[in-house]
Amino acid sequence: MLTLLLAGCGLQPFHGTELAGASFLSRTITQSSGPVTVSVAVPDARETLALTGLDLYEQGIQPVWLRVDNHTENQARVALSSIDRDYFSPIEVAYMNRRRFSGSGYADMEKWFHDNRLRRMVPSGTANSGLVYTHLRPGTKGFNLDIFSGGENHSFTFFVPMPGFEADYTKVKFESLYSEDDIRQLDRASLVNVLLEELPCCAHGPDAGSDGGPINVVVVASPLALRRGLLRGGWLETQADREETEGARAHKFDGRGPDGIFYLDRPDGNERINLHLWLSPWRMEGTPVWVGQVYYREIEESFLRGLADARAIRDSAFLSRFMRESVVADIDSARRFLLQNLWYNQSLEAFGTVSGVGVATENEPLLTFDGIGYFTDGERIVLILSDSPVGLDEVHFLNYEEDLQSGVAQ
Amino acid sequence: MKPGCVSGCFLRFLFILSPLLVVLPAQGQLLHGDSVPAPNDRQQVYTAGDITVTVAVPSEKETREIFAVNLYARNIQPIWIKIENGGDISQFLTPMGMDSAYYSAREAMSRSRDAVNEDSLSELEVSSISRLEVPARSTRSGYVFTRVDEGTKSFNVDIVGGDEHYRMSFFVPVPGLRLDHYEVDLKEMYPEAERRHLELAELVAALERMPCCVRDASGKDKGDPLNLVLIGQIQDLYYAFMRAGWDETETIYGSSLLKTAASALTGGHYRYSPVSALYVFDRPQDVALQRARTSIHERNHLRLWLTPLVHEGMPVWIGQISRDIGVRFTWRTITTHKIDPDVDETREFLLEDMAYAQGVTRFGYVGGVGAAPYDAPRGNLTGDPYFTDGKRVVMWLSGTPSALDEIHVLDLSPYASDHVSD
Repeated sequence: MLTLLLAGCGLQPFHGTELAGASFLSRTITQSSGPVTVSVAVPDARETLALTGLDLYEQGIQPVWLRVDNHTENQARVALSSIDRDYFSPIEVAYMNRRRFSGSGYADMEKWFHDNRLRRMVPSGTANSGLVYTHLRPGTKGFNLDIFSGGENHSFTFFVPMPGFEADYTKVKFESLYSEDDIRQLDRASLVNVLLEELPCCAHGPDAGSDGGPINVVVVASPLALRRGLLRGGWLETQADREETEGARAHKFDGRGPDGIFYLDRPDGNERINLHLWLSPWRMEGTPVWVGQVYYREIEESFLRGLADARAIRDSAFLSRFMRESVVADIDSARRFLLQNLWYNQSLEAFGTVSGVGVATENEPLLTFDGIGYFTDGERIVLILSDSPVGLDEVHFLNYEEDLQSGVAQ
Repeated sequence: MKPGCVSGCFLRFLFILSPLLVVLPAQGQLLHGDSVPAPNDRQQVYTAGDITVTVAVPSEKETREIFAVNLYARNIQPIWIKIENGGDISQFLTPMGMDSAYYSAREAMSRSRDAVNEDSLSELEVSSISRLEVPARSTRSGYVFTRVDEGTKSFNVDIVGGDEHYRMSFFVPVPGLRLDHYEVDLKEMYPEAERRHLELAELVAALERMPCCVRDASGKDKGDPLNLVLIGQIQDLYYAFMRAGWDETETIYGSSLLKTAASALTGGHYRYSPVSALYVFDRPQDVALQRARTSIHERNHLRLWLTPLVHEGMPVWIGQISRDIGVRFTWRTITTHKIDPDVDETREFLLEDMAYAQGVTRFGYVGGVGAAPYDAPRGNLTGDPYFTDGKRVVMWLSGTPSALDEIHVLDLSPYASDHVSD
């Protein structure tokens, strides 16, 4: 009662916890790049509250703990902007939470945040450790880190699993999806032929012959390149076995729901872009080929969505209005967005398009088994990702139609 | 306005249905693809090789006239663009280069739905740039829907295809906002006799003798430390800052003060809240910029003054940056910003921000501010404390992108004078 009263009056003292003894530090992940070693750990919401006394997750703030060991002969600079371009400064976080505290309570809190910050400059032969305050990223905490020393750039990418969150793809046993006999090694030209001749237009639904959403994306990438590319592009992961993704999982390729579902929220709107990916049995020059769907999904479903459920209403005014207005129906815009997203986040090595989805117009749309109407130019995009960053102007455009005519693939 | 749909719609259909049927016209002629007329005469043209790009940005009023919807009120600003591809290979326009979160036509529609009729909806869709490809020897024009920038609309246009690539930056003034840098005649500020052309050692000495801090209008009270030095032409400075997401600010006038106060109260997005005047060389700032983060409470302010110093033919600027971490209400200016007392942290943030935007070629540190430790801070003009190591960061800025691994770190300590100015 007294605590509540004090909280209400802004008279609370601040009791910071000793960072060195925090329990989340038992989950550190360590990587080295030559003479630079970095360890990271990320407290979850509860551990952040225990550490700071503040519900920072509620405010969209996620602390990241780092330790940087500099065995180079020069001072090293940790570029905090590489972790989060819009990170919060330590005293900013303290000031945002000032109202609960008395004058001396605030001073203690400010000093705690200042003392426990990660210092940028790491002298040669020493180590710095401390906290950086980033924007909250739901699910696995993925981030990049650049450290500069004596003209050298040491780049790291971390994926830190968070307690209580298991991404859907971590539940998939990729190694047992296909037998050795199923897996087919292809070069670029034969992959195009396989895509044109063997990849179905669409995912399939629960009943025989029922079409799901069109397969309008093909990604050629190592698992790490794919994960890094999606991280750089701001795509978020989906938790395994959640009710929200049941609908998406009813769309099947090779008898199973997507191996991974990723999403990206759009600004100021009611949509997000969903990306569903399946590992295929094909390998292009040894690299896995993923097939997938990219389309807009409404966060709160509009009434138009359910009304398009039965094929009987194909000619109805409802479907006609849905096709004229719906963001969701325009799947090609989502496909263009994905292409540029990977292009601008420097993950794309080459791209091209192949046909195979089938053309559908606004006046003669196609409907999925679960009642989503769409129109499309019928193309599917083939995205070849790179393991290392590619400049905007270094991306190759693969003109498959011409390649096939001349019999040579680029 | 009705876009030219007669030829445009037919051709778009042709491209979708059977790209192989398109017969290229003879050399020298351009096939006219989707053709949408320009919104106004404030057009800017950029030609490189076989590519010509023309852009125009309709004001809020013009946008309402064209689309019969107040898109600006929904934070949507259309950019009209025409690409003429006179070459023999396809090129790609990537709207994401213009705004990383650009809207598709249907997204723009759905955000304006309650104020819109069906004609406006189809108008938006027909007028938009939907296909990325601009085939060989063809022309394409239409709108890309971006987030609103008031004042100068700054954006890059990337045209990529084949072995050639074209990256261009446009700065299109949009009526409706008065900006600081238009008010100051920089060319007339220092007559040639007053300019001092300095080598690096002399430059460091001169920078360390610059005033430590900003002053108030009377010149009596000292405020925030001058901990930034920028070297570059004004246009390089603007290119680099705009690439990093900084905006210009409005000079303080009554209406914008009210907008700021309303924004502070509602937590809304008024990206262009004005800054108050601070003084160096007995005059208020020559340039004021800000970088909004997610609300008015989270933004950075930066003020610059041109010095009489010239290094390697480039003008030298001195300045101050602050990270706003909250808003306080005052009687005199209605609102004032609480700044992060760790001004060195804010200074290093700026260096990284500019480096990641590929705007920095060299940097180093000089003294001149005077150190103030955490437990013995100094105060600024609004009574906020700050602490610092006393250094100024010196950045050489570039108008063309400069990659992270090409930045030179200069050790300026051999030239240090340990002078601390008043």
